Amino acid sequence: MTAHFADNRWNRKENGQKRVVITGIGAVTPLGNTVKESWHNLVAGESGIAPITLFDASQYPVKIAAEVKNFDFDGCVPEDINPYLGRGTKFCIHAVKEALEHARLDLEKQDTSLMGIALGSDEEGAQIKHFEEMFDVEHIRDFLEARRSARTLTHPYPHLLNSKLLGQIWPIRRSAHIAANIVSILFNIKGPISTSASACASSAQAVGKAMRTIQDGDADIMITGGCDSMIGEFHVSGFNRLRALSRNNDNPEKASRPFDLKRDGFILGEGAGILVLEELSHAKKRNANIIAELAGYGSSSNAYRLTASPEDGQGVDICMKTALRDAGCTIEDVDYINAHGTSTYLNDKSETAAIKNVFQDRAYEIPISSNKSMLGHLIASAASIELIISALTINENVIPPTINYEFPDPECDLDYVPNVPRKSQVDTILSNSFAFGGQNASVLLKRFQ
Amino acid sequence: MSRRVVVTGLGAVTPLGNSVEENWKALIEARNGIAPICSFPTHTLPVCIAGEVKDFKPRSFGIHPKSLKVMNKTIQYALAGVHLALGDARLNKDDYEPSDVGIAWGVDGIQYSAEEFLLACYEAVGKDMKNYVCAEGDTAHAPIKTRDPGLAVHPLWPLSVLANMALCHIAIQHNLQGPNIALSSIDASGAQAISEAFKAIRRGGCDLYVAGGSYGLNTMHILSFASSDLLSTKNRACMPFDRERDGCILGEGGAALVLEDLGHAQGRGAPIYAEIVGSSFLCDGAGDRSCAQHSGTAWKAMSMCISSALQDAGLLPGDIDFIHASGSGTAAADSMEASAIEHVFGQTAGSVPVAAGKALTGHMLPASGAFDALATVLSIRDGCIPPTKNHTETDTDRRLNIITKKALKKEIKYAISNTFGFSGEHVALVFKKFIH
Repeated sequence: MTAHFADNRWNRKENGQKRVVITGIGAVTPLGNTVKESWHNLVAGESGIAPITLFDASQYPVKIAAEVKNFDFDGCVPEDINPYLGRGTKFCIHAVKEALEHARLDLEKQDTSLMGIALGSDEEGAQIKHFEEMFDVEHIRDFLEARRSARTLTHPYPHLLNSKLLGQIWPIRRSAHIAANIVSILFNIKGPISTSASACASSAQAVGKAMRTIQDGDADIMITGGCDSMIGEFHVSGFNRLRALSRNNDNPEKASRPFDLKRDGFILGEGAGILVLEELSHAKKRNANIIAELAGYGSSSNAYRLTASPEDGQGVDICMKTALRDAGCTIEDVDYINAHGTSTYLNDKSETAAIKNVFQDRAYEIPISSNKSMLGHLIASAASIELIISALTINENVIPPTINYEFPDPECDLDYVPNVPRKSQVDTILSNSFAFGGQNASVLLKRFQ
Repeated sequence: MSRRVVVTGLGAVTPLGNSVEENWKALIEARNGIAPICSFPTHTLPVCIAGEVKDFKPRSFGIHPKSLKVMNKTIQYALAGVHLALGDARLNKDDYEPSDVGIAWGVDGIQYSAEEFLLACYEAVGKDMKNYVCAEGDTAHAPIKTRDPGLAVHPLWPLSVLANMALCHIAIQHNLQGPNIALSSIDASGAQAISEAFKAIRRGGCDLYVAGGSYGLNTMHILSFASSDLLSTKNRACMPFDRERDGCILGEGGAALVLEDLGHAQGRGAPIYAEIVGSSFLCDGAGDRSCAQHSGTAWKAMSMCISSALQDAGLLPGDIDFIHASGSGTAAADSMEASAIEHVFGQTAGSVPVAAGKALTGHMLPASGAFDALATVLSIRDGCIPPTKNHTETDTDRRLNIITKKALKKEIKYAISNTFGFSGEHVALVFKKFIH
């Protein structure tokens, strides 16, 4: 059976495969509310991490996060839907506007049925105050007691019933797909739509899906990327229970330290990153500004454990190899790796091992850096923002650093571009994303020629 | 010549039964799966009936009892569907190279109840619940400490709220390391997943995919759907395309299909149910801003969806022998779908048989799209169209040929399965009887 696979796999780079290019970018990040501002702060090695302000975190073991600052929440969406939308969706709408403007796309003149949306997002981060408005104490007590004694509830859900609010905002309007739906409605887009919700790899999978949709001829233009805002009691405590978050509360800007020996977890962040992808001939016809070419994509599963990736990088390396093969590149072609680099003990070790599996000795020659050292981990939007940064790296010939790299870890012994940005010509970039549960995705980006 | 993709395995657990054949028998006999909700108390809920999966034994689907702590029902039904489908396709763990099998899975993004959410929040902070659960001086009601071991949620529980967990559990249980995508939408993602798997195989990225969707019934959805006026309040099962329809009823379940490159399937002597020849997924850009109701022009996007699926398959409307409708039973949705069918099929709209299965299973949200595709495949295999239960009288101005009362025996060459989502995400899948 395996022999059969070998015959017809990966020979799809046949004549006439459509090429996909990036023609517009937009971002809202903890380092700035536009691409320009975020990039400026990123290459300056600034940190976007600070104490949590979205809820009272004083009693939580984790008190820091990478929040978006000074964002105009009311100005970016129509008034009638404003109350229903969460932070992530608003970041998304803002970033879509920026990306469409950047791409110089006039939607009035486009056939929007050949324009699609593929976003990566998660459910809107819930804060406990939203729920406290909807419940009454008797109900909570009853629920907790019933849970302890395994008896049935005596007066179940009375206040759920009365809560029109819960019904209206949850879950129809807070679920992961809502960002894509709202974008389709606000921008009148009628083509292929999908939402990939695969935690930390969501937007990489969305970009992959968008790329394939264009290659299949189902759309000429795709709005893709991701948005997320998980900074609430629920997710902060949830990820903390998994021992995934850094507790370096006293030095927020030092907390995210990918590949450093003293790393102790990631920092939850929020934001949105949007890319406009376009079929090459379509982009040329309208004389669009081509930022970079999306040349390859690959995904895989570890099929290992829910919370840990295998230390030897098994499974994680498959998607890197697939992306290279998809782009028709060899390991010699790659000039820079934009790492997933979350700053958790296991991820960074496993990613390093996987990079060595794929690149062998060349692994030591390739600069690798993690934007999460400055941005925090933007979960569903992380991959798309890192792709935007990668595209800018190609254009500006500057590799952003991995900040807070102070104590080398013998198990992570590659070139992580420590602390200062590096001027270097970069033509081909591999960008990695790995999710909780073991879903992996890699995207290969090339200078457009 | 592009590659041909065939269906070689089916698996489903639904309110109608915990195996494919049980489900198929119930569909043909129009046996109802809707009943009063048993898995949680309902006397204050606006709607107390639903289609629940019954007699579900996780162990018989290869789920280890220890793992149940970190698996909500959406995950369990996903595992059950995939377990059945892979078995049906005669694929054992030793038969495939792990990196050669892909997964596309669809779920809804919200997978916990409001109570679970609260508990997790409070427990994490270690807050004494006293202030929250009893009035001051009320000694009869001792305070509840959330650090009470009996109350503790499993440390990994927060993981189960992530929408990709169903997919990850599938990958782990069957050691599938190939390409994958976890899709999320309120009700279209199961069908989107099948479309994605089909396109990936046809494109040549992978030879074998397991695809489908799952959903576990949850109070959040009942309340949310009810307050958006999507649920029938008459406490009876939904009535697709009937004049008196007034909303849908929720159901739960999981359905999976194994899709395979034709050469690959033949190479290993796999059973072939049908061929999948076209698909389309798109959105209604003019949708309603509530993201929960169809807009008045939704039929345009729906008919565009059907047309482009036919175009993808290289077919004309006249080629289609059977339409498995979305038929969710709400006034707006069914009327929009009927308009779309009439628009695309024109003169022939009155003669193509139409059926909808949601009257029996309830609306299983993302699982429905996958289950409808599965039922369509079985209709092709057996040349048999199951009746639409609860449909007695169509809207007077409609010309649809809705199959009611009893199953219709008919040779089917091409059939289309529609999944039209409330939030304006639409999918259409075209299947063909397999001929060498």
